[in-house]
Amino acid sequence: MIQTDTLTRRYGNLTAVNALNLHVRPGEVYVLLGPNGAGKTTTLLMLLGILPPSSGSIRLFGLSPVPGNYYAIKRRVGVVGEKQHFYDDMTVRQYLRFFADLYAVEKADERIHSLMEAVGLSDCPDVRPRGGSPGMKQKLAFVRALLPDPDLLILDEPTSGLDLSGICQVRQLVQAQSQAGKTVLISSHILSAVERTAHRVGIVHRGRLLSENTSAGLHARLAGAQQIDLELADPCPDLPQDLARLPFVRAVEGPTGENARRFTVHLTGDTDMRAQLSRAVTVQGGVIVAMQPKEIRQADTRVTITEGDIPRLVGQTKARAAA
Amino acid sequence: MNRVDTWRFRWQLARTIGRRDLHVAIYDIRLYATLSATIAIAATLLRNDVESIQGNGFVILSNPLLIPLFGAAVVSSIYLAVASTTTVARERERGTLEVLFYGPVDAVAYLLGKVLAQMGVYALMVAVYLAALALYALIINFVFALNLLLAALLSVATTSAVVTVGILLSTLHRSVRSALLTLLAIALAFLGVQLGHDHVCSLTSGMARGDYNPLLLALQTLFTWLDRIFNSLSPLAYLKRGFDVLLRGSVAEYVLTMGLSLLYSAVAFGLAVWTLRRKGVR
Repeated sequence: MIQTDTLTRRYGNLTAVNALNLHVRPGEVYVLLGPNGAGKTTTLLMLLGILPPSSGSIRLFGLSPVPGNYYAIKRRVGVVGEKQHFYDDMTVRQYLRFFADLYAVEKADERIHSLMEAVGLSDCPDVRPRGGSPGMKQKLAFVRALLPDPDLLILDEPTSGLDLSGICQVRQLVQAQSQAGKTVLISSHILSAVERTAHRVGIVHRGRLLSENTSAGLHARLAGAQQIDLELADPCPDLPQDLARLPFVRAVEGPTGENARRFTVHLTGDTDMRAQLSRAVTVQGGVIVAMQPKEIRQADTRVTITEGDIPRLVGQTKARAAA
Repeated sequence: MNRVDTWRFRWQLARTIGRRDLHVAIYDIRLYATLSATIAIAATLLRNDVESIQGNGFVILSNPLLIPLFGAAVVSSIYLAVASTTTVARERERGTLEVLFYGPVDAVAYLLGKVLAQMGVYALMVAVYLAALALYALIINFVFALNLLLAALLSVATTSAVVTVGILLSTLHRSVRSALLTLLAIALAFLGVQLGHDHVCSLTSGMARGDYNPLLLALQTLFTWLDRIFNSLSPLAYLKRGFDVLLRGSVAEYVLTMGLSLLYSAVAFGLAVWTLRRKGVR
């Protein structure tokens, strides 16, 4: 369904996607998982022909995306982007009718009506999307993507900004597509309920596909990882670097400069290191206001993937090779 | 898909995009403000002619309705230049351009749709002008001649050049503001050259070329060349040339001006497609 061969995209000196070999089979739900800036969205934009690759090749539905195949490919693809943009002057119904006309959807009104009902939008056909909730906008984007009954559905960060019920709805939609034999490609930095429907998950970091695993396999790798949320009385700009040097700290996330008051510390082991961490903070002149340990469990709804999780997900050797 | 099916589908996409944009333009108050202002200007020009007849007993004009139509075409061209210069930049700025390209829309279909919409707006405007001029002609007993229709047809070709150049500018920018500033800078450059040329010519009028100060001579040569270049680049210059040709009644020159305007539009459209592909939709 999707095949890339040493797909590469450079922006000046920065290589956003580096020799990516991706193979997604028909009917598969595949997740590209990685931290922000890993090159996931760039990969999707190249698959869609929106960004030209610097080198390498792409095949979709067995076709090379040359101009002669453009329409044959694009008419079979539905896309939900990371951010939702709508026309201010159009209502939900007008917007969907416009896209139905673009895709040359037959019996467009019936199709729009049934999809709106399926996602729970049937009560707001004459509402302008601009003022709608993030969930409503996401649903509308899904309906737009599903209008041509696509063989391939591409979702970029589909659960970003959604509440739990929104995530559940997206999961149901993905499952329905999967059951209908459609291929779904999801890009995400969150391992949520949606990504757990995946047949395979590819870990992307710094533009490289480091490994592929099943969703269950990834959770097994992540389980037991420790995070501690720290809050200080006053900003402590140098603290992240100082803490990152400690042997039991894997990574420290948080703001820098004057706002450096709240951090998330990722620990390497599964033993309780709160006393050592507290001592280290005090030595550096920090005054702890709150310290909240967080353990990632199989049942956790959302796990945000950061750079610090990559070694755990793919193994130290591959992570070092990517770095 | 073979080549014919590809173009058929592309045409359908362009029509859908064009219809949407036309719908937006028709509900825009600025269109009606422009139409009202233009019709008022045309009425004023014709009133001047009538007053001249009342005062002198006669007026010598080959087609008195041609000048008001020319003025209307110029005002409409300025309105459409602004509208087309913002059209792609606005969609890019708002993110809706990228969403369109998630689907089967490509650069050719998208820009063709934009051109169709703007030309649809002009067709509407010119129809209103012709109707208004026909009404004026009836009231003041002027002849509504055939060359007025030919002038309207020519203005459609020259306006297509204005629209495609505006769209080309729009594809170069990521924000409406920067696109409009570029249009303003170009308009000021055109105006500056025109005024500079006229001023230098007025300084040298009546003087023998040998009597020129060397600096004045250099300036005159520079402005003459700039004026020639800008005249060959300005779509409005084609419009003026076309109306002059109609007044002279030269069929061959009329066809040539029409052909050059259409060629100009095709080149600007091709450049716009190339630019959009190069700059992307983000």
